[in-house]
Amino acid sequence: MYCLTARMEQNLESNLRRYHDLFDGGGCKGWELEELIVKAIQSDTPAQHLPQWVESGHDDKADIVVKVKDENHHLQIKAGQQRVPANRLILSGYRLGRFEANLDKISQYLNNTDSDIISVSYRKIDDDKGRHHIYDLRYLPVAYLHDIHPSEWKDHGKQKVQENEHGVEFSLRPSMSWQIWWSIPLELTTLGRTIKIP
Amino acid sequence: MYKLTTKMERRLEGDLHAFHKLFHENRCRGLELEELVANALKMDKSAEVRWDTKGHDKKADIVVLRKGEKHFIQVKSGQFNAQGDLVLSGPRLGRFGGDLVELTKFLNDAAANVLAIPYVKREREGVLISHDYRICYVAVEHLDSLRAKDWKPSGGSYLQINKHKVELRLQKSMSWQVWWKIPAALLSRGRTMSIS
Repeated sequence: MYCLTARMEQNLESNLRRYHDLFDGGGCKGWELEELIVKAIQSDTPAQHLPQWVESGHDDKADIVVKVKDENHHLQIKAGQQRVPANRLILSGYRLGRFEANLDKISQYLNNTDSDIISVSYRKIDDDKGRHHIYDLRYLPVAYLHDIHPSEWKDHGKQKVQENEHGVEFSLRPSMSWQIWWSIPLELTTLGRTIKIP
Repeated sequence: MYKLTTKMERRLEGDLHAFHKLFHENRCRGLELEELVANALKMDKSAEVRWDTKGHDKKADIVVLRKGEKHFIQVKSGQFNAQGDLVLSGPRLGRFGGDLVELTKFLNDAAANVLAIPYVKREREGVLISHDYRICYVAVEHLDSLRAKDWKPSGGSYLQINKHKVELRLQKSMSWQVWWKIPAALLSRGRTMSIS
């Protein structure tokens, strides 16, 4: 899948440092991360990767499309949360209320998504040296989020859940306009740069 | 009403400039705006400024203690409509289970004045000209004087206009989120910050 180059990751780190010169309360938000990642891709001029991004576009297919030579790479940028003891990455996805609870259509839609995921999960640590903002850059091929079977959704409280053959757990939340949540084993992801500020 | 001093407004403007050096497309909003306002307020060394990152103290986003007095401030972004009214969104009040008496009491008991920073993105033919932020203050007493029996159903909402001509809307489908439409005459205006 498409990964940021070392130079791009360095640019992202520099901009996150600038962000935390302004803000100490929490992490950079998902929609802001999209813009910073586009800037990071543009910053590596020799690589000649051409990102296309429309702010607030929220195209289901991709937040960013990166053209490398003649190939288009579709990327979704997600903030996400890392559950350390469980070694899982938790991501929220699309709201699928438009399918009106039709699990066949929802499953088909999810199996056809084609954007790989760049997750920039954030955590905040306060210790005797002060506050630290930590971001983990992770890459996840979208294929790991497929292999959903319409007949295998199980009721779990107010959610519908299933697990695919890669160990990814899916949870559909009708009360949140059928938003999809993924719980992903960390070993399915490739860890890029970990950014610690300061 | 507790207001930002000119120095504080300049500090806020400087921070918004720094923000837009990083983000050309995105606006500053929510918790980030609260933090910048709190940082500006902290320039007054004789005041204690309380801002909690977890936020959403029931009474206020920011509390300023100065000379034995407590000032409660809610920071909102919001926007102006075509008539020049300030439109603000407020908390989701689904926890009251649709009980209009309880919900009205909650709204009438609000103690925090509003510091709103509505935003406009100025563009010409798709090209960004500037990010414009305008500081406005709304006294909390202009938002109360609601009566439980005066809510009128309107589509999926309940509507009421108080004696100050502020229109309140309770949006049922959005977990009973409250929206205010505040006439321009009730606003006290601060600095306009145009960042290009």
